[in-house]
Amino acid sequence: MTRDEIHALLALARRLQTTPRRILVRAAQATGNEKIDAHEALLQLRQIGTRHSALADDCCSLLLTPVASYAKSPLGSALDLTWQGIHQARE
Amino acid sequence: MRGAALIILAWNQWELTRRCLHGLLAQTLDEAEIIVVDNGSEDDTPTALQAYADRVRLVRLPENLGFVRGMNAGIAAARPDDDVVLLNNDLIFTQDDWLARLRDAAYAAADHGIVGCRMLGPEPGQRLFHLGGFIEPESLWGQQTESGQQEIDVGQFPGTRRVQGIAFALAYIRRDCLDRIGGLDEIFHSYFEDTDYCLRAADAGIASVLAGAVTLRHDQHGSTKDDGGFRERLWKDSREKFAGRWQQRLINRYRGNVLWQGLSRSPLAYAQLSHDLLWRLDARELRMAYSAAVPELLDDGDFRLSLASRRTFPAVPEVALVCAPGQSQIPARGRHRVGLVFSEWQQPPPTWAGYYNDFDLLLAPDTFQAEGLRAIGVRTPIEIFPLGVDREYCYPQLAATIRPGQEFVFMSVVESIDRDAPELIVEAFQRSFRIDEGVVLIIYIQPGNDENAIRKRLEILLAKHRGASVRIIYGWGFPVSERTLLFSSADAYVSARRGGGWDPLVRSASACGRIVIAPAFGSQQQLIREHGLSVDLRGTIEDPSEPGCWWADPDPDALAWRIRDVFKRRDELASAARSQRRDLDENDLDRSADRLVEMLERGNTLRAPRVLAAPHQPRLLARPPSGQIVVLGMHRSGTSSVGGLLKLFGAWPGADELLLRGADNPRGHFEHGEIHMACLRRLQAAGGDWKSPVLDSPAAAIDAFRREIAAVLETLEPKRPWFIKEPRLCLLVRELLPLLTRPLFIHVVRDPREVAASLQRRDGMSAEQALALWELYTNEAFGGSAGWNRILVDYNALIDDPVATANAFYDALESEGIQGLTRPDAASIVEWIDAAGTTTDLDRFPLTPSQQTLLDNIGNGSICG
Repeated sequence: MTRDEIHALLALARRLQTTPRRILVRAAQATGNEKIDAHEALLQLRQIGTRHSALADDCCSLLLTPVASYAKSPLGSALDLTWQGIHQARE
Repeated sequence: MRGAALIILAWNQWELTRRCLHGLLAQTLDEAEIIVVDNGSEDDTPTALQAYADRVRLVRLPENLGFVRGMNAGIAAARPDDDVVLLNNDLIFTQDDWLARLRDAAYAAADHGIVGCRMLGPEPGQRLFHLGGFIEPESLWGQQTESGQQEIDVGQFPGTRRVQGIAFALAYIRRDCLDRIGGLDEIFHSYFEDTDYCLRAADAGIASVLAGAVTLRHDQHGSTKDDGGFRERLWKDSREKFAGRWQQRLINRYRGNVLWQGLSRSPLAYAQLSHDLLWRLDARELRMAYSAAVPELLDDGDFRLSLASRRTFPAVPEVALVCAPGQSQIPARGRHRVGLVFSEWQQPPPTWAGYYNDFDLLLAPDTFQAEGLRAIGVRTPIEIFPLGVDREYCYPQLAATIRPGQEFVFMSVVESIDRDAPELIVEAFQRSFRIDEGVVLIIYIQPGNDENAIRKRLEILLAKHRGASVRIIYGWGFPVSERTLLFSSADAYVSARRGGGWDPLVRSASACGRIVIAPAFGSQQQLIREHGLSVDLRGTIEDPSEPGCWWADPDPDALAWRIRDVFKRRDELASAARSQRRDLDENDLDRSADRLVEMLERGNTLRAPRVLAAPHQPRLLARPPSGQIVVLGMHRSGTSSVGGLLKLFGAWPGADELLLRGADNPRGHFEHGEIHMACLRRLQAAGGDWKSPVLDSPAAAIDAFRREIAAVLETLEPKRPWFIKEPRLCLLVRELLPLLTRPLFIHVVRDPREVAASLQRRDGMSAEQALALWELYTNEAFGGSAGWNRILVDYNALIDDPVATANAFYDALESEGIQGLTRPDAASIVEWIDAAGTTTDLDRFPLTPSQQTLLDNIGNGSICG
């Protein structure tokens, strides 16, 4: 994960009023085996270390994917914020 | 006028029923009868309903029989010729003309039988809970939208379109559909009955359609809460029954497995094709599986893609379709290997040649791409395969997003720092405008590998210069379905792409009727030359990331000039951009999907398509025409003569004093004056007249036309068989149909060259215009009446042999089941027909090939099917 991606993750966490870890746990939960508890899945991941597993692939993909690519919010909100910024700058 | 029974099923929860009734009663619902079926309510409903007994018909059931039997009781109570509209009591009628627009959709084609509408979820959200659905055959997950998501309403799916099924929270069902397949199947109590009904209809050739012109709100939580698991049990029971009837049949419809080897996130062009084409292919009965071409976190915001990624498929599927950058070099895993290929450069890297030579077929979106592949030595057959845009989301009438200011907005979307040259756009913009000019540039940075690099580069530029407002949106992902908002919030879309790869954004912006500025390079050449404003190039330059590969070098001065010029001529250009015709087949992704199926079939690895049921035709039902006759024919085609014959047979055209007579036809036109005036007003309201008709009309004009016609039909109804006749009705058949009960159409045809001669002589029309008008009227008349009972009367034959032709016409009317007519004697026929007829030098009126084909089809009767 790059420094910029870490910043992006922090920004997202602030926006969602949660922690980066919780976001990652939820993301892992979404990509892993749904029958296994997310915490359990992460424990498993730590235990298997560098050994290959589908779960590890998913987590790698997750970490290599820009946060905004999967943390989706309505575009209308972004446009509203943009317009607010434009008009505040004018004033 | 044909009525409609609005059937509301109530089971307790009186407040919802009360709100629903008040909503309906506050509206003008032409010829609609409200029927409330009280499904054994035990609350205030039975007593409270009594207060509405003068405005609403009540059907009281002794106990809760479930949705299906309750609705069937309502259908049974409806007047026998009425269409029915099944309504949940938790609908909110936020649109006044919803019923009229549903009628439009229902009668737009003879085989439309079931109509649903766009449905928003509970207030205050703007999410669409229903857009026409489908059922995934392996899991039997019914979905309410094509994407499987509850999308924000951005105006998507605005037209009438065929769908696999609709939710029966609201269902307009035409009477002939009920006549053909009956009511809901009572093996179901509730749930799955709607999909079952739509599938049974499809088996009978009856289409289910979604009317995009209607959006209502479904306060869905109202009818499904607090039931102690009751509904869940019903759902499981219905699912089991549905599975027994349909699951294997639906699975068997697939023609084979197609493995889509692609990308779901980036690059955007490939991801968008995965999102937009994969589900379309699945809907075309190809069992789609998805495999990422490179490691990626699958975009699980796309239900169809997620489903395809979870599917099991054979080790070597029937077809592999690789849609990924050539750099991936991923082997195609299928018996028939197809690649969808484009590169950003004049010629792709030579290493691509060996890779693509292992394919069976390559699809390139245009000749630029095909020539580039040939130039590096690709020997695999290449087909030009134009890729359109999703016109369900991108169309010129797309409403502008409400925004707080009056600024003129330039929008740009960038993804790759080298390819998209975002710094050129910002520099050009800053050079072009002062801060006080009311111009804004919004740059959306697509999430991807270059997101941070682009942001940094642009922030450095912006820090150096305080000019007109530039805003960057970054770090913000949104559902694919909302992309249209980027275009609806802009006046102009600007691109400085160096790369020549297929660009969905420029295409989408253009399809949305926005002014588009972009280099006319690569796959964008034709689009920009025809519909956009090009940015001159200084030449080509080498891509620093791909040595030996060259792409465009946009001229910064030309870009700055172009941006400024667009602002100066903004009103003129905006109007031109919105009015450009973009409804060509090559710009429509659905046509692309149809063509793609043909390409995938080429390997002969897929099963043949199943034989579909013949489209439903109301005329084939056992119920005969009711005695409502409509005479259709182009002006000067002899419709007055045929009208006179009908009167001679005993059909009623209305009271004599209401029929038109003119100097040109002193014996009368047999046109009801009020029908004539209604047609005149209807064409005028659309901005046309009989000589220059405008087919698209404001909805209010259609409604006004129907009301005027309905009032006349009411006066005719006591004397069936009656007939109406007005040449303009040729153009208005589909609008007329909802008013009629099992009508019979009489098409009067005459040699178009004689028609043209008459129009030339009496109206000063040119031969070309007259023949084109004949073609339009004739096509519209036959198109509108297709599938309904109709008789062809050849005016030329009537002149040549009046007695035989009139008798044959009479026989045809009797054969169609029209009762109450009397066959006239030969002398009466001759006396009536003898007065007409002219001679024309036909060689003066050469027909176009399409006119000749139309005439041939009339001559051999094939136009009537």
